Amino acid sequence: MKSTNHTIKSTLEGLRTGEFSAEEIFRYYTDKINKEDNKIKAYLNTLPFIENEKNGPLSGVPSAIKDNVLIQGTKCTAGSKILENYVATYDATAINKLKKAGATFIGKTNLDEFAMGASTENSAFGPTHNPADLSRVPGGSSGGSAAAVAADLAVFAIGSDTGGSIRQPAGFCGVVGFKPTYGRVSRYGLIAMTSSLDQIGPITKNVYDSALLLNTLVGHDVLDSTTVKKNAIDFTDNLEKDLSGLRIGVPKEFFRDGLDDEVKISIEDGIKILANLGCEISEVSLPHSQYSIATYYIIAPSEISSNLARFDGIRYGLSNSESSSLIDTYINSREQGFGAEAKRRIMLGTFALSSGYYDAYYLKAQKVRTLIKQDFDKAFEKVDAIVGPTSPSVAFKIGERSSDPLAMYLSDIYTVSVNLAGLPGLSLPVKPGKDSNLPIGFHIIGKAFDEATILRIGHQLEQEIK
Amino acid sequence: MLTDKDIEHIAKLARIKISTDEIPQIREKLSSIFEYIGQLNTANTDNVDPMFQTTGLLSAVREDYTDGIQHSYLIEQAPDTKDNFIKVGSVLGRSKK
Repeated sequence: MKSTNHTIKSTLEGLRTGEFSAEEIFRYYTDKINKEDNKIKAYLNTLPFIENEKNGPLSGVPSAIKDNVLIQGTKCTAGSKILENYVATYDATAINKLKKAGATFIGKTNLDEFAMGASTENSAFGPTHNPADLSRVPGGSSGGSAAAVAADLAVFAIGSDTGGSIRQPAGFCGVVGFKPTYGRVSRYGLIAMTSSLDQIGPITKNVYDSALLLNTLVGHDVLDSTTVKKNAIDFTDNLEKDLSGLRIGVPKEFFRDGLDDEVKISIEDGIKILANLGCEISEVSLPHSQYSIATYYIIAPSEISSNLARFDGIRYGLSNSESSSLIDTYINSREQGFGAEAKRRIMLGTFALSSGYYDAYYLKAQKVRTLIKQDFDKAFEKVDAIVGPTSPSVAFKIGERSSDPLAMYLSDIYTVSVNLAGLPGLSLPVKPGKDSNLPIGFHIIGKAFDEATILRIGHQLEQEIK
Repeated sequence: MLTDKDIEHIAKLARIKISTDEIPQIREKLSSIFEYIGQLNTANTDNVDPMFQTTGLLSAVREDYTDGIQHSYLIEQAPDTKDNFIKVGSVLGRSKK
């Protein structure tokens, strides 16, 4: 079979015309992974061919799944030693939906431990390399999923996004990453990191595929009490609808210090294309966005310290067998099982929530979160979507920021506020950097539950860039 | 800003064991993060309500039923079991086995 960098659409076409069978296209990708993934290390493992529903909208389309999403009967490590030998006892709702739609699962992809990171260097199983430049990070935490799609080691991938973990790696690797509105997609079976921010979404080769996958992934789920009841729409319906008159806001705060010149140039170029397509471009202000990283690094660690309390060496996962008492089992298992960043965030959160500090940190951050959300509400009175860069720089070198947690945190500066406000966000590749020639992500932020508009803008911008 | 004693206290609350040599490095990194976070104090939050979630959903309930995950699957994951129960170390005494 010849290499064709298959999209969902072209895979379905190939299956329909009999160019290949579901098993053949699956084996094609498995063979390709065996040959090429030793350099990229996008996958933590590969899975045997299992055919799911035969007459679904995704029947026979091979996908890669971030290794914090449970597939019953297969290992799920979350990139952590503490879950190195954990076997999922049930399917995540997203997996259940993909099975019913007929997708097949090629393997589980690498991630920063428990999805905490922006480079995939925090994985207990070693870093993933960016297919565009192997000396650079693919971004994170869904770095394995983004690299797998960018290197054509899968037709599409599933990731999770808590502060930018789908959009930032998609931007760094030159693929499309989509974070739906908080409440759109069930997180049942996603290993919880920051429950008030986590959201599952697709990483794809084009915007159309993201829209198509959203049709499958969304919906109310009794097993995730944060999912909302909304009528299902076909997200691919209006992708071609004329953009003229659509109001696009550009936040002035996103183009200040800290944004690399070559990123700025490519983003401004993308905005010009939208203007040529008839969009009305105007400046908007998100004055509290300067606080988004500080707010995130109170809220996320606080929820992490609570969510990761379940890893105690008792019910599942790594357990220290030398410990004689219960408390020693907890302490020693967690010492052995968690990596440096997980420990750091657990300690940050434990401190922020501890007696005497709750008001100063956690409550204060939740109030600033309100201000960040209100900035967006105000901006969306005037515009239909907000655009800017996904990240302030192109992919950085492996090792460049790994010893400085704060420098790493700042690579999510434009994406985090979208999670804090619970909004949908899309990153798609625009013109590569003029100096580095590396991928640059263009970020489109929408109103809550208005995924259709940002997919439509993204799709038409993509057509102009191709 | 954080002292060695603070770090030991936080580690104890978090049920994480850290060695004495690790303390200075952890203290330094956590302190620099808290220093950065300190900028939140420049945001005026008088009369601003905290926002704990974005969907506005309240009291989402569902029917109380088991969804069929087999008891044995769950027990098999535990490192130490006996007679279909999970075995744990002693809470008050010393020996486990």
